[in-house]
Amino acid sequence: MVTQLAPPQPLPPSGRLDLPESRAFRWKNRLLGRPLHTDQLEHERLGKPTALAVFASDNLSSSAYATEEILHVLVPVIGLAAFSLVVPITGAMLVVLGFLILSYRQTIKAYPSAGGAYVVTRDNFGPTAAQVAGASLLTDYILTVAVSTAAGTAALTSAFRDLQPYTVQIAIGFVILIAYGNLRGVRESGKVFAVPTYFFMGNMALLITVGLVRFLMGDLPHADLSAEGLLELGEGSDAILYGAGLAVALKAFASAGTAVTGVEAISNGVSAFKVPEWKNARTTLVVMGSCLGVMFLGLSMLAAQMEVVPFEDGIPTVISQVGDLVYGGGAVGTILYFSLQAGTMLILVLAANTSFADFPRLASFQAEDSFLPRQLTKRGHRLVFSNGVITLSLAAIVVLLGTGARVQRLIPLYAIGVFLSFTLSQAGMTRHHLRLKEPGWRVGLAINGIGAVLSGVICIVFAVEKFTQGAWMIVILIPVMVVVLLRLHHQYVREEHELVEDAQRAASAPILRRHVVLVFVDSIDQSSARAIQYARTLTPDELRAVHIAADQQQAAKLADDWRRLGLARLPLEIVDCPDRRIDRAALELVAEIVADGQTEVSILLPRRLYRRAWHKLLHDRTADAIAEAVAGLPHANVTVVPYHLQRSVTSVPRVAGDASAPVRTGD
Amino acid sequence: MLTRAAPPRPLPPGTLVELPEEPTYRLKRRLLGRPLHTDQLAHERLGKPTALAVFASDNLSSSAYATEEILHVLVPVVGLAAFSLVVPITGAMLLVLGILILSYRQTIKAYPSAGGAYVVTRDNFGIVPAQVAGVALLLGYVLTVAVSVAAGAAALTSTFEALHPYRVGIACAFVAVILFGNLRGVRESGKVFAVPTYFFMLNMAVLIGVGLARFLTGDLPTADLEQEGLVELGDPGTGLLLGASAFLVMRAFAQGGAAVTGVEAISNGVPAFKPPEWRNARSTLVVMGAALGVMFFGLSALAAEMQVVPHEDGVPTVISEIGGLVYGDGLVGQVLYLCLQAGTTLILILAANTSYADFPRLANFQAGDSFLPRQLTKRGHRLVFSNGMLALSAASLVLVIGTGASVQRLIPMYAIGVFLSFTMSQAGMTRHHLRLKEPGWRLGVVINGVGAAVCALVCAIVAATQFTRGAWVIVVVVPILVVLLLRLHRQYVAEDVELERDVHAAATAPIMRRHVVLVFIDQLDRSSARAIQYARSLTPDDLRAVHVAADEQAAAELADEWRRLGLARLPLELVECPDRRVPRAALEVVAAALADGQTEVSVLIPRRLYRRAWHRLLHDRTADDIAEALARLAHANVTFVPYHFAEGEAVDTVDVAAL
Repeated sequence: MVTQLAPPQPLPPSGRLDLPESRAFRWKNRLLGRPLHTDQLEHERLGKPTALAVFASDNLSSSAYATEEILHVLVPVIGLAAFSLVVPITGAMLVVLGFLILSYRQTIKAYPSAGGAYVVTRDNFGPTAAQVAGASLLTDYILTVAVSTAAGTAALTSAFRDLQPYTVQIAIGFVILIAYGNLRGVRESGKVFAVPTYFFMGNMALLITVGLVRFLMGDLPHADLSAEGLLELGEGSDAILYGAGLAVALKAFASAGTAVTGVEAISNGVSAFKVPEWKNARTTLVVMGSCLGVMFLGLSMLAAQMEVVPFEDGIPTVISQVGDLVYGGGAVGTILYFSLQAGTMLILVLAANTSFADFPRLASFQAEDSFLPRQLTKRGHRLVFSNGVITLSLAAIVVLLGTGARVQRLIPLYAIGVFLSFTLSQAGMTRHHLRLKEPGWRVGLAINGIGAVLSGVICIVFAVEKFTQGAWMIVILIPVMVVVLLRLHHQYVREEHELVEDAQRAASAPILRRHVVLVFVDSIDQSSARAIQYARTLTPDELRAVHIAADQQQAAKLADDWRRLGLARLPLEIVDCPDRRIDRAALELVAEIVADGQTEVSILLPRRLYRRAWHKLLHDRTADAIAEAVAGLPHANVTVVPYHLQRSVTSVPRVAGDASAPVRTGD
Repeated sequence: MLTRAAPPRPLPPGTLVELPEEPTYRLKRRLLGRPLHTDQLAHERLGKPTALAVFASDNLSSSAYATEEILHVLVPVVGLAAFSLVVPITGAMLLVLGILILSYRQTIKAYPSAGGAYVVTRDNFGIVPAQVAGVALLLGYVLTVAVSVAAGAAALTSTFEALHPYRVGIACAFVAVILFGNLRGVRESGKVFAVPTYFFMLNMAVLIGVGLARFLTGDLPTADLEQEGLVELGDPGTGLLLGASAFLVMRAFAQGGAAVTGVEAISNGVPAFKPPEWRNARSTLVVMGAALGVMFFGLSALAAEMQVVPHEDGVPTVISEIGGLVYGDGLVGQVLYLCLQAGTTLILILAANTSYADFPRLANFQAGDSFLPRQLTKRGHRLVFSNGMLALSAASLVLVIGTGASVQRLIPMYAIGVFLSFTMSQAGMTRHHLRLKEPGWRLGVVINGVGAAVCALVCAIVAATQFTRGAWVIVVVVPILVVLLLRLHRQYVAEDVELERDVHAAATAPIMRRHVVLVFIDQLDRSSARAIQYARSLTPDDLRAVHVAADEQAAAELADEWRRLGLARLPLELVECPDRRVPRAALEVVAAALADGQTEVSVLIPRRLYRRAWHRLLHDRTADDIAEALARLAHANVTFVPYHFAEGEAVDTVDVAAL
């Protein structure tokens, strides 16, 4: 305490390294773990089995709801005839899948470092077109999170019906959990991903095999068509397509499109494979496609055979019904059923997790190209793009709240963005072949050309067929987003241009002719004394102490004290302020000084730093208001001169009977 | 365009006076009117009739609900016998009123400048007991607003029953309107106040006159006891109190105590009277007391005679029922009834309005004595204490919403604070007489002594009988607030002591031995160039440019460019920051520079000022974060060097595709 009395108060030399961390940071540390250094950024290389687990979860998990979505379109229109149509539609979609896989094999070879739709489009069509791909991918990642958590919740509530009223909360809980894990930095490490992915695949294989065996033995049961809550059956007929109009068939086909989402994941991550990267990636892609094909087709066939009608509200899910029927009600069957449901839920949550890797990465690409706010390029506490993670979670939560976490209401929004980005990516590849004409470019051209046309057609079919069910939102949203991104880019480029222009000359510009230092004094105390001391250090051409007199009486007292303390060497200027707008008066004063364009003004504001937040509340923020007001002037440099109030003042006199306590008599 | 290219860019001399006001300020001006200058603070002097109107509304308006509150206590227990008890209880309360008026006549003479309970207590008992009076008064003012708007809403909904469901909303709207008017600065001017006050008094006179005439002619009707929603009647007993226990009678008395609230208003405002101030104030006080007495007594007598049972939820009010019965259903009667209701509503709103003059003024006194946050002493745009008004509105809205705008639930909280401040003020006056022994002090001691004793008794009765009904809130809140205020005061004093210690030595202290200027640079652009230019004009002992390298690649590029541009004269220091916590790294750099204790460090941070809010959103706030982190270090002076982006379409040739 005693050493503190004598001004100036130096920072004790021993205290140099003794800078305790702020409380907020300590909390962050506790919540997220110790901070990671930039050079700890790891680039793990994955073997094929692990890579399949890491990249396939989004794609494979689609099989958990794709069949149901087809039936949901068909059953209300053509009734039981739907079960004759579901397998052909599945087959058609598998053809599309085949083409996509062939196309992406091309992409993997051409862009072995990072072959996402954004990069491919940017390279071949330029940055503006790339924003279309970027915007559609971003929306899509958000929807992947929403759809996957919603479907994961459905898997959970199908097994435990009591939880159904809490659907939305559970889905949001999943999102928050995944976001938290990602903020802590869940690595894309094999172990975490391998378990649920292979667990799900094992369960599906078992389900389809058991189903097949029972079918061959002829004891595959039929679903109970009189259960409550089932979709109402439509009337079928014997005409071609069983009375389903072409429109209905197309709509069902469009719904099935959700099954192929996520097929692009491997092409985004080629650089994560072990060498030879592109070869391994290609093989993995083919394996993934085959697995998806088997699971999707198998489920569709089982559903068709057992005539599983989906429920109106989606609970229990078709896959849950199929599992229940195939496995039967025995003890073993029940265990297998729960294991299936657990696998489905886990892989769906994992699928959401992949978006948490992709969205922030894509956003950081776009932000680096100045099409999204720069903040998205910053790596956070644990080296992940925290801002991107948070943005994605918030957007997904909004979508979940808006749709009540119902898969059926989300699907119409979903696949359109995926197919738009497929189309752009494949078209980009087509252009790539035409430009570079590498060996074998003709085959590549044919494959990618067909891929582009196919994706384009599906995209249009989807937009048209699902327009009224929600696709319109995406049809409107994507152009709007693209316009916003371009506008934003324009702003960044303008700023950059202005800032960099002539920077060299500016950096060596001579100093201004005059330097005036203004010390704003509110009362004579330690904090203003500090400011005066600092002001002298600056050796200005002109040093002025200024008091803005909102209260005449106080101003007179200050002038008195000033004289009394013998501070006459530094004249105190009192500025009248009859309208009590101190910040405005300060602004006018400073504006006058800088008006000649040859004067640099330093505005010194004594700032008291209080020990506790509530101490600060006891004082107004005039200094901040002044700083903000004069910030509008060029060459007005605001300096905050800190004065730290002590931790505890032990010599405080008691309130009662204290003669020195300031007592004001009535006005 | 071309003139922009050459740095430095001077402010064109012509634009000196052209500093446009901000949009928020322009909106404020449109909403509240032109700003008032400090010397426009007017001190109007009021004649007696106007002064009565200005100061009496709070007091007189109490008659609108006092009778009802007494009945509300009695009827459920003793039934119709309540009507025999209400007049004596009213009489007892009028006795208290008489004593209060005599006492305050003393106060007015002794404190002709400002004789509020706070000042009187402070002068005679010191600053700490004054806080008790202050807290009691502040709560009283908040409750006055709440009770008055609730009663005003009840008067309105009694007339238009369709509005009944919106009672709370209406009461809140009243608060909002009064607040708005006061923020604009409604003067305590005669005209505004005289009309509703005298209108109400006239209506009451007519009501009581007609009632008396019909009573004398014997055709005063009695109320219909079969109506729906009435308070359930108790069973009358026999004996002196007709079956009511002494406790019940006292509780009714306590509930009726609300009637005398506001009697202190004149003593607070003596300087506003025309000279001789204290004489005029005294006679006005007596007139006010007499008017209140007549109205209160008249209403109680009429209610007793016609056996008006209050409604369970307070709507329609007793005064509304009396009006309906006395005036009858004829056309003239209808018009008179509507006039009565309008007058009641208006005076109640006006009563709430008086708190908007008193609360901010008292809060200003207390804040001036450092017992409340200093912000309460600041006069706003229109010279009123805006912060005090906002605080009052917020507090009363909480009460109105919390009690569902029910007068009955507010009253138990009300009277206790008021009588507590009466007690303190009268006790202070007693002490005053004993200390100064001015001529006639013996009489003064008796009057104020009796006043203090009576007030303390009433206060104790209210606290005891209404404790479970809400008075406990006040009994708990007052001590807590007093402790809080004292704690706050201690903090202010501690700060002042510290700030003012050794000022002279501090103000003439020599400068530090060394002055280091650190320019924090993010990239080499015009905003950093500005900062470097400014740094040179500081003529420091040591000038360094510092770049915190969160991104190694960007740092290498910057160093390259630095060399290329020949800025070698100014050394660029690259600070490694592998954990990407730029503010922390900056803190460590500056702390190292300060370590010898003999160095003054100026930290220059280029700040880009964007023209639109959304432009700013496109960038992070690292500069602000750095400044905040550095605030911990003494002798680290952070300067923001502004760089303003050009107006208008500076660069319209940028082609997006040319990226």
